[in-house]
Amino acid sequence: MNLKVEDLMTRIIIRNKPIGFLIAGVIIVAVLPLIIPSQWIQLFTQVLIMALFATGLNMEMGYAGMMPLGQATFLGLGAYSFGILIVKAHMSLAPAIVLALFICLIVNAIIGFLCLRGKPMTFGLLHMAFNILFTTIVAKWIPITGGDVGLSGIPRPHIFAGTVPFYYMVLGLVLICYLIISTIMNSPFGKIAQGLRENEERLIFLGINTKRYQLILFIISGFFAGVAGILLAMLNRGVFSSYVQIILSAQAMMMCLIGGAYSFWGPTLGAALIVIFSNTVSNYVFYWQGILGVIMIVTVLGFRGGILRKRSVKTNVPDVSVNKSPSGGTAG
Amino acid sequence: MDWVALLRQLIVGISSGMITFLGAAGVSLVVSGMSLMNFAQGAFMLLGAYVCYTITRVMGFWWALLIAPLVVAIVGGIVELLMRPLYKKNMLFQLILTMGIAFVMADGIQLIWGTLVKTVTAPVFISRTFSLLGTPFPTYYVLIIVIACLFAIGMWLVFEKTKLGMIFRAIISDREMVGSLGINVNKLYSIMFMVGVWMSGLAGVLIAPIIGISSQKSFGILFSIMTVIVIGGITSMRGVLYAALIVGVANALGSLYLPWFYTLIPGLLMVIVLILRPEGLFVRSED
Repeated sequence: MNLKVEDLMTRIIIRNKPIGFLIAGVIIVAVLPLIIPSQWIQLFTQVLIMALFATGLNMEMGYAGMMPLGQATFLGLGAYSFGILIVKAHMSLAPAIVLALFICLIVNAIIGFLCLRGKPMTFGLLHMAFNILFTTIVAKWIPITGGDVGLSGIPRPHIFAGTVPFYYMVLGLVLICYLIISTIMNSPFGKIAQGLRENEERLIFLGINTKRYQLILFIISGFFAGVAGILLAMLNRGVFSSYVQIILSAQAMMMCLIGGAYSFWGPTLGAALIVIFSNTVSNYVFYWQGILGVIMIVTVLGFRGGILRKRSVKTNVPDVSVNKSPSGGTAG
Repeated sequence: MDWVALLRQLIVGISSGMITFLGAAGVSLVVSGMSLMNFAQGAFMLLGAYVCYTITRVMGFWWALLIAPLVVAIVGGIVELLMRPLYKKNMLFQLILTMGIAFVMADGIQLIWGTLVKTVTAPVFISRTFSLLGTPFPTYYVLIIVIACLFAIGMWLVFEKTKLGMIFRAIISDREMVGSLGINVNKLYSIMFMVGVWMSGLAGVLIAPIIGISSQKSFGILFSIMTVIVIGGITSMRGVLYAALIVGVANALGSLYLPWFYTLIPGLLMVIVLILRPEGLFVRSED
């Protein structure tokens, strides 16, 4: 029995790429700003931030199989609480960051609790509904949020104020967050999260309170979105209503799907593709939203596994059916 | 307190609630029949309003009331073909697909009709006001209520008395059984989705003369549909009707007394219902 459970685990475990690959990647990303023209560094910083956002989202979407359709809420929450604390309450940088992350955690927990009240389909619906609600609040509460114009005048930390130093700061922070995420996802907690995706009913029979795990995952994932939001506010030196728009949520989901939602590095790859593509396209065409829609439709119809799909999942399918039959027997 | 103003807001509230009900009933039908959450419903409603704008300019409002929902239903039928490969897949993919469709439709509408806000003028005799107790009331809002009520009764009759309605009810309660009776489930899904979308088209036509139509409104409309569905209970058509009326009236009265706050009222109601009765206000708990 132990062996079989372990088989299942190796099937659903998300194995990271070999360590050599990783080191090479980090070196390339670290050397990049010395080679490329400086106007591109801003774009690459944005790629890193969105990669963090998407990887955090993927904890819910790819690992746990939940349907977080409105993740931009939490990016916007981080960015706006940070921006309001700095611009309206005139706080200094460090306490504003800490307080903004704290606000993020609290509001995450409340929204998460509300979203998880219903069935799985209601979860997605509510997730998106809160996103639209948040967008409305941002648009209407002009004295505080600045409405469509947003808030500008967000400072960066003194030492990292330049474009290249800021890039390195973001890179460092994102790598730390990646380390935390991968530690979480490889811990027993992460295994249960993957179990939620594969067979939630079975976890319930094992006496596991799945709702609680989903809520914790929801909060962690929203927390990283908040971190990404704060970094994005620093990058653009302002908070704008595009940070909470539902199209950003859709973009984040597409990053996960295109890159490969069942792998750790998939969302990062997807983020690079989507951010660079969207920046290029929006220089030429006005209709980025529609193009993104087409990408979503095509991806979902014909490309669900993503670029970094796990081939091992396919070859292991017969093993799984062997694994599943005893469980079916015990259930019946 | 100004009773006349209150009464007028009540009529406005009920009529806007009825419009939301039309859109939400379509979503509810599709959810309960096909287990498919249609996030593009707001965009379909908007499409109805735009088609209404065009037809009204050429042929007049009454023709638009007839034709525009059909046009929307046909577009819905085409869209449904895209969904077919996904019916047995993960629900997440269906949701992303309908979201993508909503984006494409919003930009497609902008491409065809432009970014300027459009207004539809209703025929003269219904855009007048009628007077009751010596004060004027807008006729069009009453007309909306009448049309929506007729529609609700019609839907009820179709559901309870015709063969199609019987099959619809059957597929909601036991899908596989309907399939094994030799009924073409795929075709039925198409019809069901088209009916659901047709409702949103009708709602779009009815709402066209009272709002400025703009292509960026689709997610706002979707939000009002969502709140109503959550409050009423996702698969309960009757619950959706009550919830739509409650939200509509609360919204209209709110705009009278709390003008800066009223956009948040539906969201607030939704949160309260989620805390108290997460499965919806008007759903009987299963024993």
